[in-house]
Amino acid sequence: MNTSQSDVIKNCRHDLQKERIIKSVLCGMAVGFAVMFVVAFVMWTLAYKGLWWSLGLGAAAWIGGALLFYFAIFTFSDIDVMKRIDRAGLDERMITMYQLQGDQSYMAQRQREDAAAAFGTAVKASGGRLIKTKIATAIICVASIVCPFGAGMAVVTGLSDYDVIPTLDELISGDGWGGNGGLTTPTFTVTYKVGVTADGKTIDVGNFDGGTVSVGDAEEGYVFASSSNDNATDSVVKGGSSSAKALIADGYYVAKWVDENGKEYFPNPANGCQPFTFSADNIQKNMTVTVVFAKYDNEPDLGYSYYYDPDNKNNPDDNDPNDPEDNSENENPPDMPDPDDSPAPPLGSTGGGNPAKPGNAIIDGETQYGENYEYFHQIAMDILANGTDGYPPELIAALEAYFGILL
Amino acid sequence: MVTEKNIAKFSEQCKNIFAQIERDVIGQKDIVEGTVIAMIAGGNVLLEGVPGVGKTRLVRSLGRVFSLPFSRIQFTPDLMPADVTGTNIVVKDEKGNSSFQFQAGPIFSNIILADEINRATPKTQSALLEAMQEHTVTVMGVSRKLNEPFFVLATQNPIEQDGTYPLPEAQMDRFMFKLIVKNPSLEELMNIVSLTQKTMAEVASAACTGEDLLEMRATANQIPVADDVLRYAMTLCSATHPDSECASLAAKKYVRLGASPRAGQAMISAAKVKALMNGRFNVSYNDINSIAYPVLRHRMKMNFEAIAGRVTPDMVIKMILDEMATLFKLDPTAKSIDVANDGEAPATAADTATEQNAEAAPEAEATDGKAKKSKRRFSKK
Repeated sequence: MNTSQSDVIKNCRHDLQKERIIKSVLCGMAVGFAVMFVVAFVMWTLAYKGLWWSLGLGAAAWIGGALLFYFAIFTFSDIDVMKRIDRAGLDERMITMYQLQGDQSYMAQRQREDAAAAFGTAVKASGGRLIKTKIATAIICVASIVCPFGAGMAVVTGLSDYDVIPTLDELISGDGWGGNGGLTTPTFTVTYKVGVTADGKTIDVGNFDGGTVSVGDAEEGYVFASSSNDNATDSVVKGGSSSAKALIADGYYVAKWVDENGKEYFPNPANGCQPFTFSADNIQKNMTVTVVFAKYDNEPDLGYSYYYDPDNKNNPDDNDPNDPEDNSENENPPDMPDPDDSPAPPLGSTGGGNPAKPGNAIIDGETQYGENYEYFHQIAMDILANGTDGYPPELIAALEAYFGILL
Repeated sequence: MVTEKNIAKFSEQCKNIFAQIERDVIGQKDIVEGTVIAMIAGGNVLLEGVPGVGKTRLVRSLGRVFSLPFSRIQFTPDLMPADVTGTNIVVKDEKGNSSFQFQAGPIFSNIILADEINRATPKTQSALLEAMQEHTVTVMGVSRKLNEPFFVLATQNPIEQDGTYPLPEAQMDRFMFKLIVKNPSLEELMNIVSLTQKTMAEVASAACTGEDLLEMRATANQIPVADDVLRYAMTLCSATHPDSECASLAAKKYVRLGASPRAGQAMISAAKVKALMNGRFNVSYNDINSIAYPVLRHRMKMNFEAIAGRVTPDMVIKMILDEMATLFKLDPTAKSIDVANDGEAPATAADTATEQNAEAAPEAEATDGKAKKSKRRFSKK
């Protein structure tokens, strides 16, 4: 081989080196993105913030994989260079020449001469580029498939880290993504809280497990309440219903119910809102509802009382719960329907259900008449006994229509 | 020891051989090349073809071209082994004493044409076994060496197999090549008829002698084989065995018994000759691939699935070669460059001989024209 042919062989070696680098980078990239996919998926599943973990580990795996492939797998020796040159149509002249180097027999010398001549012809025919870079189709296919998957999974993890999309855990359990429920068994949580009105402000007492509260400078009062299932929260299947009851202690009454959006529901039968019961239908998201108690001396002028004293603790000797005189100091609250016996009619959902229309609470086809009859009957008796002062006209009209009497 | 003179002589003699054979045998270039390669490599050839395609004529031409004594043995069912090898006969000398004298059979020649070899009984066929492999004949316990170079060129008919005796595996293995002689093309047929209408006699003349042939064999044996190419050839042979470690999928599916180690030896020997014929001083993968068919097709026994599915040995060899190309990362479409033609495809020795004959044809016609003119001149008288 003359000097120029030796230079061509050197160039061939460089070309193979380039090919080696490209292959190593591609294979390392496939490994890196595969690791990225696995890490991102695990983090997303376990609801950990994994974007930077996946990116970091993926990059590390890319570099490590590329180095491994470069130094351990895509290595080549001199004879590999000769084999690649032979692919240019040299019919294994180069590898035979390489094998016979040092052999001084006549045939070996002739073979070397023949190989050199053929090599020169091949170089001339190929324009000096004997070796063309070839990347296996399998490498390209694997990298093309793995890389988008890895990058996509990292994006998903990143979006869930920033709460743009829920984690897998949230998707399945239904706790995420605006309360729209999970994929498998969408359920929502309705949280009941207790609040107390004092000095015109509402103080959040806490969840529905009861407790004492200090209300400004006023004397301490005890309020307690429980949900329908004696828990502070209620787990509801998507589209289901939930209700809560407020058990009011002495000195307090239910001023209103408030949902998390601030919408207030006053205890007014005309609008379907019962004082000590809250109900919601067709629940489509998580809800937080607060029952707001007020001290007795802030009682709104609704004309009826709705204090619940099942044991008649305040007036143990008073067996007439309907005695209006007993309501004056709220120590002997009138006999009101037991909320446990006659559950209040549904309020109408605050989460996307059908709201009850004032005036049609009885005859709208949605209200359960039996549950309201005792309550409205009591109100009608009170009106007959005490007059209509203070009662809303709509209520009076509804009672007249229902009972067929003139109040 | 190989010299420049040997190599030049090899090339020249190859051209002459092909040129002379082509004077008697029209077409069948692959068959001619295969037969010449086998003879130079020192192997025996089995020619299989329908009657009338030129098998016997080829062998007779080879005898003339190589200037070697030629014997024809017509194998028939009543042929006995002694008819092939010779036997001891009782002779009386001048004094009247009787003694045994060995009468050599027709096998004691350099080129043996075993015509319709499958018509003889296995016992008679076996008489050739020792001669083909060891080039010796043993009669009555006495071994006699045959003349070198020694070749057996056998023929058999693929049709009319009734009443024939298929060659045993042991004997088939002793043939280096099995060549399938096909029907000539239309152009070749026209040339054959044109030639034979003039004369049926063989006109090929001697191109080399037996010693030259042995010298060519020695020269070709010096061609080096790279380890990778040797590994490829041996892997190819091993791949024909269904239960070997290198067994190919095609062999596992269709082959009952693969090629013996003789196939590997034959492959390398023939590849060396082919490489030198092509003007190369090394054996290549393409050389191995091109002689794989004649070397392997008669050494593989097909299983029932292949027979039922009409899968021929050539089809199995093709499948195995495809698997080998994938295994060794060979590019079947790669074209060889030729140093002499500066990058163009190399011409085989047979093609070169054809060109020489084509150049000689107009001269022959011109000569004939002159002779006709002179005749007319004479006829005017």
